[in-house]
Amino acid sequence: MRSFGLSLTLSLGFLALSVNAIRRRYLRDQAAILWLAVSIVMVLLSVTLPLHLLDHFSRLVGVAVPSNLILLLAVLFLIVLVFHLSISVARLAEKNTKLAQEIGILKAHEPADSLTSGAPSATVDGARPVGLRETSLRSTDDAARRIAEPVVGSPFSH
Amino acid sequence: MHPLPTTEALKTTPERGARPNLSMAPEPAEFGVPSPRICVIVPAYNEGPSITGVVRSVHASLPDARVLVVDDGSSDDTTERALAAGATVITLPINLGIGGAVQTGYCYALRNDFDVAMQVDGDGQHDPSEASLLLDRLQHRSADMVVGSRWLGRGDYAAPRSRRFGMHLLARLVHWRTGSTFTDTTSGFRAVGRRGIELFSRVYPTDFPEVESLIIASGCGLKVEEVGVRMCERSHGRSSIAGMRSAYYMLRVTTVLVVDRLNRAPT
Repeated sequence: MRSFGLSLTLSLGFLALSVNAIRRRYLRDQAAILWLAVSIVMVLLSVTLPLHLLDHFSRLVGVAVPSNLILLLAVLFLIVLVFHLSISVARLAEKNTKLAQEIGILKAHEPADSLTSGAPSATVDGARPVGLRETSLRSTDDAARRIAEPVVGSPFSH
Repeated sequence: MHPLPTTEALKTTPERGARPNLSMAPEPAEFGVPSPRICVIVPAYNEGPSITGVVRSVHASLPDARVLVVDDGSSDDTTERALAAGATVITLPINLGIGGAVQTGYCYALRNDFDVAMQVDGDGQHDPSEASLLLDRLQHRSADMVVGSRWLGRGDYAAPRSRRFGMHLLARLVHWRTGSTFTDTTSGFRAVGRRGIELFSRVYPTDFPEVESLIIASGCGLKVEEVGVRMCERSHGRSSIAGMRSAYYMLRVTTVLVVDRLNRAPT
């Protein structure tokens, strides 16, 4: 029965940890739901330990040692989770790149600018206007549009 | 060992996804000047020692072109030197890698309505006086993209054997993917018309973009050609692709080339 106490303590501890993290807004949205669900499942597994549900279930699916079933499920869960996070990171990196490019273009230095003057880069090219022109915003360039739009409809305009 | 065709240019006809060619339709010129507006994109990461020379020689060869140096978060004085040499400079707030830097140039070219975007490396490897070779082909042969090849008869570029082997392998892979033969798939000396600018400002590979971008362009129905150019050895520093990195490069590019087959380029 010592394992019962141990697993219950650990899972309750983890539940407290995730509730606290959600309360402090370290975890949000999907992540909050996910970790809350995981800790509840862990608590349920610990509570039902004396009922030997796990033994019945592992015999049902043909796993000889019940703890191996738990390990298998845990590893599968972690693989799926890391895969998902990997995709999220790639997506964030792409957004990050877009932002950096956009900032770079907005702050483009024209040759006449002096870096030390601190003045915003102006268009000093005479015949050939530089900078954002309405006509040059192609429909394909969503990023630029998304950045440009809020200025038009900002709360300061009315 | 190398497929070294003696023909001047290898005309390539993409097999799939061919679309009508809209790119080189002459735009109504402002002020009655029909010459295309050219933006020369120079990606530079810590190229302080060579950037001045590169900017000056581009200015000398293409006086009407805008030289755009994209400083990829350098820690040296690349930005200051490029500005002093008379280039327009975009200083990226963080290091994006060569692909992200070059794509910034294409976005700038699209935003500012350039007709032609040309890529010249910031390390002085490419000779801007050869730029007209690329531009001529872009205009008169109505290609959408022209790549300067160091293997097409001109110049005397020498590469170590291992690198030659890698380049050969890449050429075979690209041939398999596009159905067309390129002699110099890793060349960063290239020019594109409007269709290319539009495409690359939307999709451009990140890590080692030269090879992959060839395949993206062909896959999206752009007409890609090669033209022989002279290339110099680097004036300073070493290639970003050396030692273990070259092994990673080959692995990465090969993976991309094989996997990308399942992957429709977004249109």
